[in-house]
Amino acid sequence: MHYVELEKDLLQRNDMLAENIKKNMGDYGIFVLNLMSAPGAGKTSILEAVIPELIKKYKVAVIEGDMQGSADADRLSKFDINIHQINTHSLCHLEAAMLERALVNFDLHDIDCLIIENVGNLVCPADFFLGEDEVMMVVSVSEGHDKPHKYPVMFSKADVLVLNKIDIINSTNFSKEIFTEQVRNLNRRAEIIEVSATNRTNIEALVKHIEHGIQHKKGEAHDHGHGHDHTHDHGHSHGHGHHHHK
Amino acid sequence: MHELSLAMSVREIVEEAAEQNGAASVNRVNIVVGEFSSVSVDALEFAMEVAKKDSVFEAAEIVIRQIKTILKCGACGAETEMSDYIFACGKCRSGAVHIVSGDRMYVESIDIENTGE
Repeated sequence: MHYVELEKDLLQRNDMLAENIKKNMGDYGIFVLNLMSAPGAGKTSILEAVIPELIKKYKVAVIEGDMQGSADADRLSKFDINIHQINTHSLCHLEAAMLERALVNFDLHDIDCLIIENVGNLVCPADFFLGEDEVMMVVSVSEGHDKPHKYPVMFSKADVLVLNKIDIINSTNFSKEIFTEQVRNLNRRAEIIEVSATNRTNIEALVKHIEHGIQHKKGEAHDHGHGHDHTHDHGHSHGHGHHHHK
Repeated sequence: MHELSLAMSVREIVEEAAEQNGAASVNRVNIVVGEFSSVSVDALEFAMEVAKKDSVFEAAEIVIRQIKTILKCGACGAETEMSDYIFACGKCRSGAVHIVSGDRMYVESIDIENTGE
């Protein structure tokens, strides 16, 4: 009998593909957002609120991940953007390989911001790096303030947290204080932006955040090889959880 | 539930390693799953029974070990076990910690039987 030491990560192939995607998107100066939440938190409603603002200045493309159907893509088809629907069938999350296959449907020269709407799920998508610049996590007040403690991995990986349905907070027992404390136990850096997608409350703050990301990414692509050393105060340079994988 | 796709990654890794090391068969596959990952050991165990069918390790014993999350403190330098999923140093309580282990899943090693042995 012979013992062979391997130490091979199960996500190695996904992470390698995702790093390739990240490099490719970097070459085109495309800002990539990975949007995650539980089902019904309001990912698509948030996109319906921010896209009309973003497309005034930028070219936006959306990849929709759902187990089945094209309901979300249909909802966004009223906008002048490129949308591609991925159906994962029984799978609970998007993987880099699916994204790679979906990207052939886009003209990458013609995109400033790619938004990936992941499958609604607080567990599995957290493990799969897709090459994004930012993980944007949506939580709605109706889900309760104890979600960070129940789903620590995903909350720890969020670069920005959007607290949605803030207009109905008084009809729930949601405590912002407890929520924030639980988030900070897991994630010290993620900015928390309170919005109501359907009432358009504070949508401009969210739009500004995304625009900042787009501009930063463009600057990076533009400055490529010119050694720019000015610092930025937002999340992009912070370590992403997936970097622990080797 | 993505344990089956992870089990298929195990299969790929073990088959490749078995071939590279000239294995006639694999007796044992040692897998490590970090506590701070989204994987259930029970579900992965079940998925491995499916994933090993018709492979070089069809008869192998699959051993899955779960490991705790270890945090390294940027303030006092201590390495402590994460408790209750809170990012805080177990020694000085500083929140300036990062995960050093326990957030990955990997095939640690395999025991193989070489051809002609």
